[in-house]
Amino acid sequence: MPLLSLLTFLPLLGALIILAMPKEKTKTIQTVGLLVSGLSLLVSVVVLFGYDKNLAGMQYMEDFLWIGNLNVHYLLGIDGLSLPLVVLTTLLTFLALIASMGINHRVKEYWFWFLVLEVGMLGVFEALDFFLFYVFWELTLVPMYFLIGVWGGPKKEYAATKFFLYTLFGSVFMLLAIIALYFGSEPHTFNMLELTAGRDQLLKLGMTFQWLVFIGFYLGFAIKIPLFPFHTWLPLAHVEAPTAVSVILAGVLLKMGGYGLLRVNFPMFPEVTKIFIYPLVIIAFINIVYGALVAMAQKDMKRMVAYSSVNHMGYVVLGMCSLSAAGFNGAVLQMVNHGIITGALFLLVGVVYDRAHTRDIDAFGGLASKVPLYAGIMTLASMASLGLPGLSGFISEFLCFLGAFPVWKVWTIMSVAGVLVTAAFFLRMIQKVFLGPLNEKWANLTDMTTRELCAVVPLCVLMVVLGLYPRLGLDIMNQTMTMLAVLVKGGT
Amino acid sequence: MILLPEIILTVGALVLLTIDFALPRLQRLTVYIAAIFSGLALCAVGLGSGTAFGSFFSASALTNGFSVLILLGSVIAIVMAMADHEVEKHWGSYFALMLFATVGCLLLIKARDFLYAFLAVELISISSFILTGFERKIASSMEGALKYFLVGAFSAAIALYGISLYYAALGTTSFSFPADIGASANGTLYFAALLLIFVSFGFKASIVPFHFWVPDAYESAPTPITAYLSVVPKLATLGAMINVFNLAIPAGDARLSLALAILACLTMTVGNLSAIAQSNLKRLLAYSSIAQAGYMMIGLLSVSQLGMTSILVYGFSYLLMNFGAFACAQWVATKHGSYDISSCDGLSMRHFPHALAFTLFLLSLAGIPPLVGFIGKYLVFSSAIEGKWAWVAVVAVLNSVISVYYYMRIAYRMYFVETKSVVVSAPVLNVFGGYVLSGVIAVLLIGTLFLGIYPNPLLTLVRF
Repeated sequence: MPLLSLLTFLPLLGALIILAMPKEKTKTIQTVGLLVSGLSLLVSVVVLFGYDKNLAGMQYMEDFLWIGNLNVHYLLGIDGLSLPLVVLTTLLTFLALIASMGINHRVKEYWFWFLVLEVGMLGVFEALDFFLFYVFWELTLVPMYFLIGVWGGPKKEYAATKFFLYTLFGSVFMLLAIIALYFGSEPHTFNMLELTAGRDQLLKLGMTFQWLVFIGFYLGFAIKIPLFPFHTWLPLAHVEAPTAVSVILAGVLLKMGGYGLLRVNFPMFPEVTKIFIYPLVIIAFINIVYGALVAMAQKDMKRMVAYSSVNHMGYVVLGMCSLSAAGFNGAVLQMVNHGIITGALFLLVGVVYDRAHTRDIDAFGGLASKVPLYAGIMTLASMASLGLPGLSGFISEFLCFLGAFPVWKVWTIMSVAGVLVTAAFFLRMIQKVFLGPLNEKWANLTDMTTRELCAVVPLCVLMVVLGLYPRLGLDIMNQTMTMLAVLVKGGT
Repeated sequence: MILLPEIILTVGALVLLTIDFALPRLQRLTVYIAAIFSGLALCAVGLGSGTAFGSFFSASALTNGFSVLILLGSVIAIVMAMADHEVEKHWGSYFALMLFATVGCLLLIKARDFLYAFLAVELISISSFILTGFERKIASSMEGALKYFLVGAFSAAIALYGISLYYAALGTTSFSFPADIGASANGTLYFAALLLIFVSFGFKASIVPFHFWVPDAYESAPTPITAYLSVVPKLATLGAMINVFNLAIPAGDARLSLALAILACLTMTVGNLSAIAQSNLKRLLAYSSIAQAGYMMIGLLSVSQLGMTSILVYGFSYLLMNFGAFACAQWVATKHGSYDISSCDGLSMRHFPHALAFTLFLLSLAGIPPLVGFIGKYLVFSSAIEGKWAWVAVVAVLNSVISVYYYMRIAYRMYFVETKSVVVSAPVLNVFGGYVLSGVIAVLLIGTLFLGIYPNPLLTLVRF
């Protein structure tokens, strides 16, 4: 049974059904959307349980010839790197769709685009053929453009256009790199696994070729992550996007970049990688400290969370720069944790914004007495994000530092400053919003509804579970990460 | 008999002219007659191969491919014209001119001699001048046609001068050359001649800096004619350029290739940058079609199998998506009475299927997968990388990022601007015309989507 295709294209089926429905039937549309994304989540969980943790290579492979004339294959597969991200995607999409039940403007189009977006994201993590990979990669752009542009905030049109152009700018260079790899390989192939296995042959084409192709991919991925100095699209897009879309943006779309670096750049070009990590670790440091400092300066809660993403993705790249299994494990776990935690934070900011119509940190005060449940959950998520031991964020950040420290002592020590700043701005936010005397303006604020709890609570449970028992995630990744580390380090 | 399609079309055109003169009561039938003759000509493509009139014309798999594109284009334009309210009288001559232009295009790609190529270009030009100015009561239509005519006459003179130099250098006007021409005493003369001939091709294919007639002519012509001009003569000219490059130029001549590469980059960049500022749908699509010609020229750079097939595949995808975009623009304009971009405001809320189709055509033009435009762009970029023209490929991909900006500006109007009512100055589309246009859009959309996801039939057809 082709489980990967099933879980990827169920949402597409749903999207087509929704397209065929009259737009007045919003309840049915929502039901169909939830049903297909729920089924997709279910299938991904089945895949998760069927996955053999003791193997490092690809599992659940599916291979059909797609465009014979160009040797393009429909080739899917997952390993310890992609499986956690696939499950994260199906989970976050399902929860984000629950949170989207409150959207009542142009419901049909919203659900249609959201489900198409899910297809693209899942495909990116599963595709092992570069052509297919690129198609899925671009498939995420258009739905996101419409989701931000129609349902976003005051500057939505500008944010949507900037997002589209910025990401496209990166991905077209990736396309050129893909074409160059195709012609560089003998026989010509788009197969990622064959290209990785035959990388010695690519080495014969000279270091200039290697560097150019590496940079082409790097541009595509670094913009997505986003790494300094390509991060400027992120705050705008995250802030202007509607809540559920911000969840997906931060939770999944950024991971596509990190995934790409680990899947393509590192194993295929180990020689370049070994040199490139020198600037890359500095970029990671800038992401960590600069992201944290800018987050601290924000008055808008959503902007603060957005910039904290820049900071957290810095940890991911720092972990990668170690070129060790521990660092890679930390990086992938951090990607998953960041998806869970930041997803929850965006949902929570959305909750208060729906009621108060402001996200200004200074506008609140003493909310803990009024909305205790909300305050509790928000504090939990913030603590997880700032890396409190016992919650999931701590483990992965620790692993990233642990992996990076033996190689990059100075940069790692300096990066720890980022953790302090992160703690500072989250604590300040908690203090200003929830503690102190109640701002009478919000005396009528209501606590979270069942629907909002349904979206957030699963994420909170995961924060605690993964915090207490991280092996749940690490066991899946470990074999693949160990192999990856050997691939990068052992490269001739 | 390789000239059978041309003969069929000429007969058709003469029949149409006769109807115009002698049987005005059959006016309504002319569109069907034109469509039937074009269809017959389409069936006759590829019935023979070899040469005709000595070796002045020659047919091959490549010319057959382009012939199919040209005839498909003219069929689509004829069907689109059914919905064109503006040409109530003289339907016969309208379609006859279209068929004559198509004959010119078919002859152009089969010509193996510069004099015959020149005659073919003139046949296209003279027919299109008249078609552009067909709405003769509208002053702007006359202006566009006149500009087109003056520039066209000028380019014809340059072409003739180039051909005379070519004759002086080689003693013949046919597409053939002695292998050592580049080094011989006549080498400079020979290259000067080819450059001048290319200038005249450049006018026809709207290559920068010979593109200034395009926006005015495209804006003033009836929309089916605009769509026709933006696709069919352009593809025919590019096909002819492939022939010249294959047969009349020493393989991979560095000077000419570099000149062509620079022109291609200029064409893309100027076309795209100019399109950004446009607020009229037809002008915007006119500049976009200039940029598209630039992408296709990249295929000429590497004189390889991949380069030629990439032009053919791109040409086919361009046929689908550009006609689609123009059909959508025509549909919008006839619903709302204006080609101003503001008539798209909130279209998705009033006519979701049409808005979605328009968006998909624009995304395809921008080269976003999984639409057919991506396959064309992919092959063109591949040919550039394969032929070591990486910097041209970089310019091209940057251009496709720029193009997304203005293509999405239309989508932005359709989806993001939420107006309940748009000022309808003159809802001019009759019910029948609306169905026809929607049908054209639907067929083109299916092609765009299907061949984007599963391009195998197309790639097999061009024997890639």
